[in-house]
Amino acid sequence: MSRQLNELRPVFVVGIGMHPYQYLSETPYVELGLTAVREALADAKVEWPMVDSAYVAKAMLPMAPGRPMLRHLGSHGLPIVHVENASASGSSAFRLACIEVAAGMADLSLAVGVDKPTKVTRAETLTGIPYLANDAIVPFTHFALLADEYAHKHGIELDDMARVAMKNHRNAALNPYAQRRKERSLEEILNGKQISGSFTSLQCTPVGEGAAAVLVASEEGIRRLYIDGDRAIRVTASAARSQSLYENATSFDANLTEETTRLALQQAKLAPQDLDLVELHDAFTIEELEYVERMGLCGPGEAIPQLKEGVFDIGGRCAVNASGGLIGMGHPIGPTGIGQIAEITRQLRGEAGERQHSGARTGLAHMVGVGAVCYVHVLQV
Amino acid sequence: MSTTNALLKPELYSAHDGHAEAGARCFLKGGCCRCGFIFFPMQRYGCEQCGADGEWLESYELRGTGTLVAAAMVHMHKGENRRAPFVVVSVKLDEGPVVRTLLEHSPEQPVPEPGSRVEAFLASSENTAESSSLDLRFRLRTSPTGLGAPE
Repeated sequence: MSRQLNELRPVFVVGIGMHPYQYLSETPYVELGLTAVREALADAKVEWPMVDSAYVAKAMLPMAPGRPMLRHLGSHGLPIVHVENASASGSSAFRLACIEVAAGMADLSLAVGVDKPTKVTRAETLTGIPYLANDAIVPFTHFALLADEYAHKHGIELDDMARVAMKNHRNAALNPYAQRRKERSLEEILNGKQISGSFTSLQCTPVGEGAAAVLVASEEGIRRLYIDGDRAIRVTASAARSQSLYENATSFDANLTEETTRLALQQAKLAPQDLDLVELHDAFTIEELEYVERMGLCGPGEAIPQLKEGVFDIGGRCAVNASGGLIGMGHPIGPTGIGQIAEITRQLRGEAGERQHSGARTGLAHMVGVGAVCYVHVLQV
Repeated sequence: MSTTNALLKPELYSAHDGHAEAGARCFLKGGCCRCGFIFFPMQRYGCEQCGADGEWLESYELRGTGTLVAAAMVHMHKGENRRAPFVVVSVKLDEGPVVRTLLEHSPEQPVPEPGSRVEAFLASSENTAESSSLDLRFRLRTSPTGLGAPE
């Protein structure tokens, strides 16, 4: 019989590090990644040779970027695994690092995500199966169609969706690691460059680069390596699913989110109402509305009214995307899921500064990736 | 020129009565004979519901009529084969599958509302390399109660 993560050895996040997300630059990926890993090592107060294994998440960089980057920390021969799982690459690397520690095969493991924008072909276009007009239905149009469907189903104004972006830009303005660090008014967002349907550019995630790193450890590792256990944050659930057949086939990401979140909360023995923080995949505003409803944070069609009431603000009932999310903080792909873990860890430690969500004790990280796949993790003090 | 040669993607649709002329009605196709699952687009790798492959998967004619689920006017498009703005729609076909492609639409018209009745038809392809080909589009369906009105 298979076992879940929280039935194995306890796993803790003990170190976090970031290179700020930013627009494409001349900075080599090695510099981005090393900045994040060195910050994570310093945060955990451990030395590189103490790390037993490394999982390197990337979706756009070419084959095998890990060792050309990590060798500059000292080549001690640790096993390196590269993980590509579209937008969920970082979340997948984190899950694998947690599983290795939980299984007792490592006491200290690194998950690092690093990426730079390059032209990437989605394998789905190479299957040999023709589609009617897939070149015309890129992700922002797929989600613009879902936005139109949601607005008509729930009788909301499409312009109200921009309030998701307003909140997330406001949060990102307080985040030194965010790609977009400017608060935006509703008018600015609505009057921006038109992209598709009701979406303007400020309602969509930007393209960018960056890095995020997280160190996870066992209790034995924490003791043996003299890591400060008071700053360690327990990972109490890890759940992953891929797309199956749904009645409403075009809302596959929302269906996947509901299913995977339910599994993660069951594993952690929590209800949606127990969550203080959620970092979720808001590449487009409609996603945040659909996902908070499917996660059970509010009922169907209630996301906009509750957003207006401040329920999902920092200081509200459950802070959603306190980091700024993908819209504000950015979405360099490989690092994104690991950056979410870093944000939740920072919040649960009470070290998030101006964007601290007071009294946060439980956080959930959620990513979907094309394919489609979904990963959800729960972290608790 | 044969009918098949005139269609841009003959694997996905065929012309009504075999006459591939601009404006003609057409049909979509794809289905599993073992479990009855109807899908789109047509493929023979395997049924996503039951796993059957090869001969179990056959072209299955769909009428090409359905109800508009959502519409979006695309303002930004990087591809060279079509120029923005254009309107993309999600359509729930009367037989069940939801398909997405372009809607015949003039810029001065409002984007149609969900619930509108639509039908597939063959239109001249915008693809410059295939300018003589016909491709599938949707258009609002004429009914006694008005263009695109629920029937």
